[in-house]
Amino acid sequence: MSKQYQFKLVLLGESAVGKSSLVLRFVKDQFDDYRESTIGAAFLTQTVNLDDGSTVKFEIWDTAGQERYKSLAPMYYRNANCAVVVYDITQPSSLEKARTWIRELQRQADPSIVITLCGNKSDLAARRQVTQEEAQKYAEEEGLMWGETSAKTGEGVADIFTTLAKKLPQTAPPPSSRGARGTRGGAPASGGRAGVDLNKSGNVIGTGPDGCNC
Amino acid sequence: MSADTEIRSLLRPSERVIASLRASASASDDKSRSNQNVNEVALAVIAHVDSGDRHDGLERGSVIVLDSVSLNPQSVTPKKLRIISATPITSELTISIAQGMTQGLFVLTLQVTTSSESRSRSAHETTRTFTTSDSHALSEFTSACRRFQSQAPNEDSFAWLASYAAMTTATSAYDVPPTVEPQSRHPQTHRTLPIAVPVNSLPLHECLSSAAAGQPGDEDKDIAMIKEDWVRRTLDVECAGDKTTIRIRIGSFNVNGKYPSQDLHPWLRKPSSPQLPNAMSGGKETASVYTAKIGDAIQGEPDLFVLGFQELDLAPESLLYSTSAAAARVDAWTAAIFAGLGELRDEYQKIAIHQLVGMLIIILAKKSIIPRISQIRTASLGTGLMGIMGNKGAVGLRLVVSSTSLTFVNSHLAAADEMLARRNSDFHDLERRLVFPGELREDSESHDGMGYERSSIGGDYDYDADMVASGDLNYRIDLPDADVRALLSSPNLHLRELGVRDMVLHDQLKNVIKEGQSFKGFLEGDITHLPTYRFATGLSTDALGYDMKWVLSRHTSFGSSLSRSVIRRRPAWTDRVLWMSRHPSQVNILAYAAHSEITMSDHRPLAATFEVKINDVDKLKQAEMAATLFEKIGNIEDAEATHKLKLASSTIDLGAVSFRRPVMKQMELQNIGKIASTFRFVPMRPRGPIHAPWLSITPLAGLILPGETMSIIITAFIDERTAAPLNMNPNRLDETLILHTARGKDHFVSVTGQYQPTCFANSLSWLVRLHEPIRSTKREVESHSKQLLNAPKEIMRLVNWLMSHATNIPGLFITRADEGLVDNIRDALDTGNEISAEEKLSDPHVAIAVGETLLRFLDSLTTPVVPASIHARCMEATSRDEAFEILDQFPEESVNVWISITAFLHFVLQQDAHASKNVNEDTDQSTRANIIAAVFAPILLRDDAAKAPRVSPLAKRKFLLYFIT
Ligand SMILES: Nc1nc2c(ncn2[C@@H]2O[C@H](COP(=O)(O)OP(=O)(O)OP(=O)(O)O)[C@@H](O)[C@H]2O)c(=O)[nH]1
Ligand SMILES: [Mg+2]
Repeated sequence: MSKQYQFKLVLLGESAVGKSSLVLRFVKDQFDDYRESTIGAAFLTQTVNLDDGSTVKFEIWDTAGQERYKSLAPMYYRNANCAVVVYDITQPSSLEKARTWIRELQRQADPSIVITLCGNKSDLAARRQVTQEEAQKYAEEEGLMWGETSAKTGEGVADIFTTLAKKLPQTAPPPSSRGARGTRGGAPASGGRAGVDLNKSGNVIGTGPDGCNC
Repeated sequence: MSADTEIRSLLRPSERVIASLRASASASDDKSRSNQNVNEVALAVIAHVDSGDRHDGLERGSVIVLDSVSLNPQSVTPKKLRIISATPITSELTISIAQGMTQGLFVLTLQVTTSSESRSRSAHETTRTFTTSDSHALSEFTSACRRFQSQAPNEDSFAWLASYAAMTTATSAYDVPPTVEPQSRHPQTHRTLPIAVPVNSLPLHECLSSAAAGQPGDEDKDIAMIKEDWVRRTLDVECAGDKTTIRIRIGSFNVNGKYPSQDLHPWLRKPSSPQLPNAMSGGKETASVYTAKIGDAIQGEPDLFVLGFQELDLAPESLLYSTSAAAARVDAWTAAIFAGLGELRDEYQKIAIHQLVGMLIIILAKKSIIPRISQIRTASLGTGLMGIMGNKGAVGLRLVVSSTSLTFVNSHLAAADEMLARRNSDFHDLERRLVFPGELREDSESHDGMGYERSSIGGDYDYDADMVASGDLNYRIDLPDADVRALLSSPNLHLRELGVRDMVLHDQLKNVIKEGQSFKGFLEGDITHLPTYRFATGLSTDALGYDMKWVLSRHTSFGSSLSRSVIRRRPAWTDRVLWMSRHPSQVNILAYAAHSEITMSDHRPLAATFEVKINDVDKLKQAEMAATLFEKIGNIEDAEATHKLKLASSTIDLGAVSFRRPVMKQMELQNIGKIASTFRFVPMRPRGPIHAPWLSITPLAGLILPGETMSIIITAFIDERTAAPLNMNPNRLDETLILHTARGKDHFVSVTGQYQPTCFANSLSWLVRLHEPIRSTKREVESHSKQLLNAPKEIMRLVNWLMSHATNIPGLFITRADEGLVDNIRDALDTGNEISAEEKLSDPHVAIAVGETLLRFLDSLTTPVVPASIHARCMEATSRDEAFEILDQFPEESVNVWISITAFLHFVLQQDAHASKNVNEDTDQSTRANIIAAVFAPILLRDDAAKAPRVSPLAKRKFLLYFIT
């Protein structure tokens, strides 16, 4: 059985915590010491192959962390299947900000949204200000997934997204719509998907080349 | 054997021949038939009576087309007829007849439009054109068709045709009609160009899919459109041809079934005509004030006359038969047109004519321009009885001058006051179904929709396309009959102009265009002429000649308990000329007027003169270049490609932004990716606004080649409409724009600025709190002070100034002011500076500008001096005393404003009365007062734009007159 899933993912968190760096590492396996702050929302896609042969394609919106664009964030997390809320382990204030985002998501986003709390810049352990215990405890209380990453070294990045990719097909109900970004854009890339009935079963957007769905 | 007999021999006994016709199938561009370009055919209308259980006594009709084959080419025996197509006569079949270029030759067009349910199939329109010289047989043929059509049969009544469809040969040039065998239809072999220039001339961003932040919409479609638009724009620049200007005179005349009995010269040649019959226009009228008489400046003769007639023939049989009487009428009007041209008649030639029942369109061209004209095409559509009959509908002509396509549509839409919705739907019908047969297109299957998409990718580059929609559109004026007549009846020119201006605000067509309900995107010249309908002769007319008879309305008027009510046909601008262009700046209207000298119909003829820029482009070169450009763009659609656009800056500081003073900023957008990318600005929320109403962005969507940079212009302009919300919360302008890269990032752009508040567009209740000029820094403190002013100091300053310097200025409140002066005076009010320099105090231009500033100030108030909620009460006053009593009900801040303004006006009129004895004998005092009332009443008692029941403009004037006379 080789199913293909597609999920909309949104990254939220204070400016400079490393959201864009995290995505760059995940999508292109690169890191950039001097990244410009995101003024807007960047769109990227990445596909994760799971052990059972199924694939999960993430449609990622990397949002602007700067306070003045906060009012635009809801436009990007609405219809999202999952959110990665990022804080910087060297900045306690960024965890506070992450909590605010999580509260907002719990109130305003799709109730089925899967949230991962992500402590970034784990390579800067020497300057750590947020303990793992504190963050993990908070995540457990709120029923979130949690992990630490370093976009710089790549440590933990794949884990965060793979764990999400495994969890989503089990928890996420069929999206009410095909997601804000139409699936058309990505469809041709993966060949055999054309013509598959997207409405058939939840997020399963296609089957393997054998064309058998059962 | 006669044709009929031979045809009959091919039919089953259950069918009979109603009419038949010998014709030539027009030289077609159908490649499959290139070996025999002109094909002699026979057409027949055959009827079938269903003898089965479902017999309903109705005959069904079908048009069959037969060609003649000869088995042995050497044989001298007559060729044998063979059925090559059978088409059921339903509403999907459009039959039109046009006079051919050669005298005595007629062009018959049969067009099948498959209904929308079956649109998913590739082919949906088939057009066949035949020519014949047998006018008698042709009229029998068409009237037979129309008769069957009028029975509006449904499609399932045509099973009997199947056997004939089967007889049609596989090599047939024609399609088997879809109702018979839908699956077996050949792809269509004829392309039709949509008439839908309207859709095409919408700005690009309005054609794009609905998108918002985080919701890109249909990117494939958007990319394709932006690409296409870019190619067209680039061609415009890189492949621009010689531009020349031609002059076109458009006429529309509902002749009410009359034969020409008067000289048409004024309609054809005069820029404008006196507004009133001679008897009434005796007085020395001063020059028009609100509208310059643009027409008088006109020199030069039109290169094209495009004349549209309606109700050419009112005889009921004209609906069904193409009678010889109808032909005689066409001849008579054609002759009258040439006669009306006077000494110019030999310079023109009739180049195209097209008729559907009473609707006729004729184009005359100056001989010198004829060599530049090509591709004349015709279209017609009946929307009348049963939705198909030609008593209403349109006839159109499309032609190409050099390389610019010009389309002229003469329409006659549903009549009667209460049929507004029907007129709108008639228009949409025309927009959808009136099509001109076009050339064969290679890509005939790929375009299904109308408009933008249809003429889109891979099509020709008829980017230069203008369209004129004229005719008896039948839209009325939403004002009571008595008001319309009274507004029109003044013998004074100013007053009539003001009346026309008031009436235009209530014109149904202007309002439906504004609201996008029909004729969306069309433009019209300023209406300064009197209504063109409905005139009568004899006793039952008013002083202007408008019909006064009472007639039964066709429908219940709302609020009436009677099933039918008695109404009078109010004068109305039923006859109109509208236009639309892909390049609006290339069409310029020079004159727009009705010609009251021509009194033979119940309508007056209307004419508009245009100057149109014509392009002369080498189409072949253009097509090659287009192909190169598409290649240059490359495959943007490729899903794997990464699109990278970089904004030079994500913030734009507008600096200080003042009322009515535009601020322009540029923003650089660079393509730093490897392939071409498209972008568009999107709203924050779906269907929301892309930007604040006081901002504009050009372009709102576009394409950038790799490595190139585009400048996007951001303009801030705050006017009366947009200032009010800013005045409420002034100081900082702060906007976030969202620029979306197709398949990529959303960029945010912060636009900030410092708003300089103005006293315009505020409420009286706020202004009376401000003791200091609005831009004074002390303002914050003041807004809390308890002591209110009696009236806004701005009004008092203006009125006091006028009182001391402008009590005897001719043209005050009437003559148009100098814009620069008005701006300065407004600034003076905002800052507290002097209204005018000492040495200018006696300059009448300054006085006129101060007067205009007062009017504009009052008009800009967020709530009018007299709020709409008490208008009705004001209208109840029947005497001066009652009027003054109503003042008690005015809001506190309004009372003093009202009193000081009316007192001033009263004073001015007194002065005038005194002065007029020697200066201005022509205008008596009551006329002066009426003019002032007509100017001030709509402003002081402004309607609530959002609410329906508007108070009569006349009653408002009357109320104001109690105070100023
Ligand atoms: N040492 C270290 N630096 C990192 C890491 N991730 C990001 N950075 C740096 O942190 C800075 C900010 O990273 P971005 O990815 O731009 O942060 P962002 O969350 O996208 O910020 P906004 O776009 O403003 O919301 C950059 O200078 C990165 O190089 C990391 O894991 N370790
Ligand atoms: Mg970022």
